[in-house]
Amino acid sequence: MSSQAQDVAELLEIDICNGDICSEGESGVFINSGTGASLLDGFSAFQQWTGPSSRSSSGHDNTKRPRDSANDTSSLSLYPQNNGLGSGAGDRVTLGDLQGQALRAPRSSIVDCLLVELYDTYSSARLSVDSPDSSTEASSSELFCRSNTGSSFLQELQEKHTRRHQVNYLSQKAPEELSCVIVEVRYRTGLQSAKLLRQLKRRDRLTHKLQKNYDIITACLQAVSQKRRVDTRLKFTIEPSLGKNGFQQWYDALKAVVRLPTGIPKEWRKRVWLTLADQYLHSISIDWDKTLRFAFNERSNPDDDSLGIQIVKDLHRTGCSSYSGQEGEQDRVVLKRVLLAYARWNKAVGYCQGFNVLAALILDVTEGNESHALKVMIYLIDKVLPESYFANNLRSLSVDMAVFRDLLRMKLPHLSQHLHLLQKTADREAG
Amino acid sequence: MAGPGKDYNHLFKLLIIGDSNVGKSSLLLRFADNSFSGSYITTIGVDFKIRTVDIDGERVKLQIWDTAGQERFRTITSTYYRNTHGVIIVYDVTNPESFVNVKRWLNEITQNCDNVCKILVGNKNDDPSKKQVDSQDAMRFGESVGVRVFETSAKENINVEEMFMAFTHMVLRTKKQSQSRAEREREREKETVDINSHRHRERRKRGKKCC
Repeated sequence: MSSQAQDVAELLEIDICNGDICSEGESGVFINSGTGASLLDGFSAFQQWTGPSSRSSSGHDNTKRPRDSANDTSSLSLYPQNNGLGSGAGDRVTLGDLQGQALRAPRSSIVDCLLVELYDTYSSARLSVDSPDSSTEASSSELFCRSNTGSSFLQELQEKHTRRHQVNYLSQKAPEELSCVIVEVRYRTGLQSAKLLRQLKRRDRLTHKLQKNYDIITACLQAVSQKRRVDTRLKFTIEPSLGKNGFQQWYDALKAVVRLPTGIPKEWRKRVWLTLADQYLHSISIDWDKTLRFAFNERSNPDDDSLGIQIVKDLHRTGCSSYSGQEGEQDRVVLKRVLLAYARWNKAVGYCQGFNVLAALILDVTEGNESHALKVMIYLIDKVLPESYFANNLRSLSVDMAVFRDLLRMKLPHLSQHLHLLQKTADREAG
Repeated sequence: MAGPGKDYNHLFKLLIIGDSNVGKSSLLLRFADNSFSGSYITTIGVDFKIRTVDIDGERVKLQIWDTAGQERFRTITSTYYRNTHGVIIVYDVTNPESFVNVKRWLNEITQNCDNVCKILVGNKNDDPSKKQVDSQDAMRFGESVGVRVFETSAKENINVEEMFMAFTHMVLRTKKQSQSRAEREREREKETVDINSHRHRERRKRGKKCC
């Protein structure tokens, strides 16, 4: 029952928020399923709203009622006048009415259930596309049509910007006008609460679903893992969870993803790179804002000239066509700023030919964001690659080349021998 | 004479050096593939291309190594001087600094090998209004260090083929001279046995390549 009540609440929302899809059938459902709505806490606003309408249409058949919706709204504004300020009395009447309707409800409850199901599917599909903001907008404009009097009071009230003005404004109003405002405010509060509640529940549902999907991916990764022993501890999440081992679990899971034949999906790159870079910068306790101010400083530093000359020589030679030609001017400016920023950050390394290629690729992934690109550059060069890979006459690179040669001899002896033979022949020719 | 399984009579290894952005890769690309791109990717470390040419009816296979110009790559590129037949030093005629640095590149050659053919190439010689290194200055400098000078444009395909062919001729001539000298020496060694063996060994030691 409670789940049905929730469905009904969602339907109510649709009815109110999206006037364009509001049909008679839906209104009928709303009224007939009144029992569901009345079970929800904090729904007095709805009850008040529905109360007078149902009273005004008490002589009519249920199915006919929605057609009189224009009349209903006018009766809504009249309703508080009849009851004065005693909202408690209004509640009682409303509940009574709704219960009365509930007795008539079973007639069409099967149809209702079907409609609820139908529109639940429809609404979740639709709302997942819509942003919450747009639905709020829609509801406020819709409100305006439904209850002119209370709404226009509120509108005027909101235009009074200071509290004092608002008090003055309110003190000038007649009691019946005020009660009208109260009803309107209650109604709106109820509406927003219902909306919030719905969104929270939705969030919970989605979080739960997401977690389930994560678990499935974790299981898949572990199932196909070539390194089962290492991968038993991994726990897939798209971003590191906040727990103590959150980062490590995320990192291990990503490593397993990397080992898949397709590697890390292109769409993840930016997020993954930045998360890794952020983690590194956090680990070395950097004041990032200060670093940015220094690295992207418009004023030139003493070393800038010599650095700049070499950097400018390479800007159009990234191997990526967007950086060459007249139309690449803006991209080259950004590339130069990033390269200079890194050189200022790490003076020992400065600028090394080839950074232009790296930075161009990184900028492509960070969609031209300079500070993000710098972050990734720092992580890649300072942390991922061995020390002095690009400085000190590229000593680590030479070591890597020697290691590669040995590795080739061990793993691919035939290829290694062939290359060796070619070298010997060339040497003999050189004689 | 082409040996078994060989599609050439001579195999020469050439090396292109010079400051960055003078057009080393462009020269090679023009000579090997007859193409040009203003935005050719920066050479990182080394790269090579191969082209076989006909010189006086002989097939000469050229294995041409292209190097990165930036200072810090020199330790890596220096290992490629080994067993090189000829070194092409490139400067940019629109950039005087690259011409001034030619001396440093010549020094680099002496440090890494001796008795190697050399040629000096002033590239980007296609816009007189931008030219900053005078041809006369370059020629005079070339004479003073005993190196022939060519002015080329990889972009406009000016003098590139001529330069590479002239250099290949030079390398081939040098090879033949040293071969015939070696032959003569062998002949003489046969005739004058033992007497100067000690001195011969000394001389051979001195003449040996350093790398």
